[in-house]
Amino acid sequence: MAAFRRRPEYELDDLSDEKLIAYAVGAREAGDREAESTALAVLAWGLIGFIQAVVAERVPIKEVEDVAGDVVEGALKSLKREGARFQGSTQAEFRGWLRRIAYYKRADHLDTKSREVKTTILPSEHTDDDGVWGKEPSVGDPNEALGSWELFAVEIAKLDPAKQRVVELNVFEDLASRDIADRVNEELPGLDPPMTPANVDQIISRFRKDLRGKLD
Amino acid sequence: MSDVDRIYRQFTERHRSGEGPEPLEFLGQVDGTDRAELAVLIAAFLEQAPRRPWDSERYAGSSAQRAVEAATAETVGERLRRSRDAAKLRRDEVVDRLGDALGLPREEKVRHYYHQLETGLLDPAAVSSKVYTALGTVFGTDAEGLRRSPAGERAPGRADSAEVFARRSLPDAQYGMTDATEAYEPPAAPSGPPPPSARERGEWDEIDRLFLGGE
Repeated sequence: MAAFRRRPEYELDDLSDEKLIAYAVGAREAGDREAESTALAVLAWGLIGFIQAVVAERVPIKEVEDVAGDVVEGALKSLKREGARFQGSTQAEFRGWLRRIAYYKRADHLDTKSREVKTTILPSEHTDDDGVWGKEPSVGDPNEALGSWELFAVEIAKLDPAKQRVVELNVFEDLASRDIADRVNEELPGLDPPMTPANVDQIISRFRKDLRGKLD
Repeated sequence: MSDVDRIYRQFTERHRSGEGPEPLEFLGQVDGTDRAELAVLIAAFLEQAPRRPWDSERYAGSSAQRAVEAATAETVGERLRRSRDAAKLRRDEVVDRLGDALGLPREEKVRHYYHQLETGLLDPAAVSSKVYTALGTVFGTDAEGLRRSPAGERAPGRADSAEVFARRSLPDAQYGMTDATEAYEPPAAPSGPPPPSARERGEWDEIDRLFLGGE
């Protein structure tokens, strides 16, 4: 096995998630705790925003930072012990794993809050009691906490390939409607009728409306 | 263009330019369903986008730094293993010397409890200072340095839920990523007497008190 070689931080930034994890594992096995910590720091800094967005889908914004921090801590502890298992995995697989941890932690957080709410006196149940008043506490249904990515993925999956491609180019690549229409027509030359900018706007508007309908 | 669209575009532009924007700054600009929708879009974008560029100045004092420090702090078990490696002792040798130092030579329960302490299956806070002092003598190190737990080190059975979910969702080396619902298989417990139950605490012997009774 090749000896571990410590790399400068700017080189770590260019590594894929999987290679960065492999580097951290190598550092750990070589006993270089500083190199391991730096690698995990680059990974955590690079991805915590993603975790925060997943958590923020359901958790009140002032609680997101703490919950996301717990997710990252839990994931890193797991990587410390079992990082070698990610060898050969893709970015999508690794980030899908992070997303799942965020879902469970989000649901656990909301479940804990709902149990705290149950011990609170509800003004609506004590309307005759002047001593019990104020805003009714409430939390979202924790069973819904697992669904946001699934419903995004489900909504996209309902579309035919041309419309799916329109939504992907809009959400992930931020292209203007005309550019999206041109790209889709290039990628799907048999499309009849060809995609137009007006179609693109309609497809995106409809998709976003359906998505919002599920989030409401 | 809706507020969600406008804010989402601002976020993705800044991410692509390498600025590494903070999602919470953008999410805080909207409420309710708008925020949920924006969060779904930002999460979907970031899941496939390149990582935010490393910034050591912004990292200092951030929640990412706190998470990394909590995750990488050396546990008591890890410290014991490192001390054992540095002293070039096998675990059996440590157990024998520990037993001698405690005046409890060749006791199988000492072996069992030491194994649990090293593998994180025993609450380090429940172990008597006499044990740490004896271990300090065995390793030639400071006993207080051995027993110091990182902030947030939890007793076995009380792992943070995120840790549990992370372990349950690990990829299988043979088959690739697992489904998150697959059960986690904990490492096999060592053979030997199990720790006494609460009911049995009245029958604790000296060894049980040393490893389970705290100070």
